[in-house]
Amino acid sequence: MFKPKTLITGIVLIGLCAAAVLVSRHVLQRDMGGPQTLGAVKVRGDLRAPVEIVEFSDFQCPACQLVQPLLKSLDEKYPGQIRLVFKHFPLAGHAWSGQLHLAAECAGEQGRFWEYHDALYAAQKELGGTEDPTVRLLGFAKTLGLDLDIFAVCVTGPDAAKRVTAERAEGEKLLLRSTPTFFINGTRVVGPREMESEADKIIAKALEEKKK
Amino acid sequence: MTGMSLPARMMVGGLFAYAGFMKLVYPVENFHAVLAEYPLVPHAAIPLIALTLPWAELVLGVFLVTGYLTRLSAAALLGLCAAFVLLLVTRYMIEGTLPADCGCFGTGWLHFSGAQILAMDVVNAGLCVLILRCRKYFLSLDSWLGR
Repeated sequence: MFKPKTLITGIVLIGLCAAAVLVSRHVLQRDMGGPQTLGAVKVRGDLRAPVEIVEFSDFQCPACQLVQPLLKSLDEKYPGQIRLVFKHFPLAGHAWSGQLHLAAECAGEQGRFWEYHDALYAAQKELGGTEDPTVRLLGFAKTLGLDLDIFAVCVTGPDAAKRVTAERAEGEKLLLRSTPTFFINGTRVVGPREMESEADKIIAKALEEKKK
Repeated sequence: MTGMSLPARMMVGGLFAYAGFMKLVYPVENFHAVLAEYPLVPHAAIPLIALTLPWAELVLGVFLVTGYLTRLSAAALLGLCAAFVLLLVTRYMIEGTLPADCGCFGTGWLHFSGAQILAMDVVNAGLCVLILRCRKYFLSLDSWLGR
């Protein structure tokens, strides 16, 4: 058995650990809140849908590409019930992420964000291996019928870049660690495997609660 | 051997305490995603492991650094290192790859690939064995408590 002095020392050490964690957690998560979606423009689905999925994603992240069919299948399973909001979260370790997100944001200015989004994910492997994606990005814009002059002004100007940076900063404030990170009606789900196992349950529960 | 136990305790204990702390102060769902990367971890057990493992890492790490119940802490951390090696090896055997980022240190500034953390776990296990083989622990609470 432990002597009282030994026992008290252990309790003090555990108490100090717990205090350090609780104080740090409080400081870090104090102003975290949830994702801002008021006035969001990169939205797919019914604006009055009862379930809102906010996706923080990176166009060069393979896990983000992997989860796209699941998002589409959820849309098909719950028609009119889901609103998907996209948020840029370009990761520093990916060479072209900044450029890809900027281009997608500029496609969004001309109302073609989701088509551009799909094109980027479809070409993810190819874009990852390229030395400079500029020509391919212009190619996607041309294929989608965007005004190339407006697109060129947008990608070189500060406005779209500011919006991408702001969404990345929002993700950091929400203490995102990796992509894709989702918020389903405020519930955080991280990664494709967790999304695959949890999304359906969270959506079904949200719809059930709405019925009550 | 006794002289080497202090740096070994600082390194292993410090790393585990930092890893546990970083996981505890950030949203637990971030750690769920890390655990989901390992096929050996049963999906139903993820929430429980995500809740308890970081506390074990932090407390045992602090115990080892301060030299409190040193042998017990070193033995428990040796067990954790062995479990982590097993997780990484089975992941490699089943999926053919190691995780690009082990996720062991939460959202902190320390990032290691699966291969790097596998090497670190083996080194840490060796250091735990070294600590276990010592009879006395310099600058430890155990000495102060007369244990």
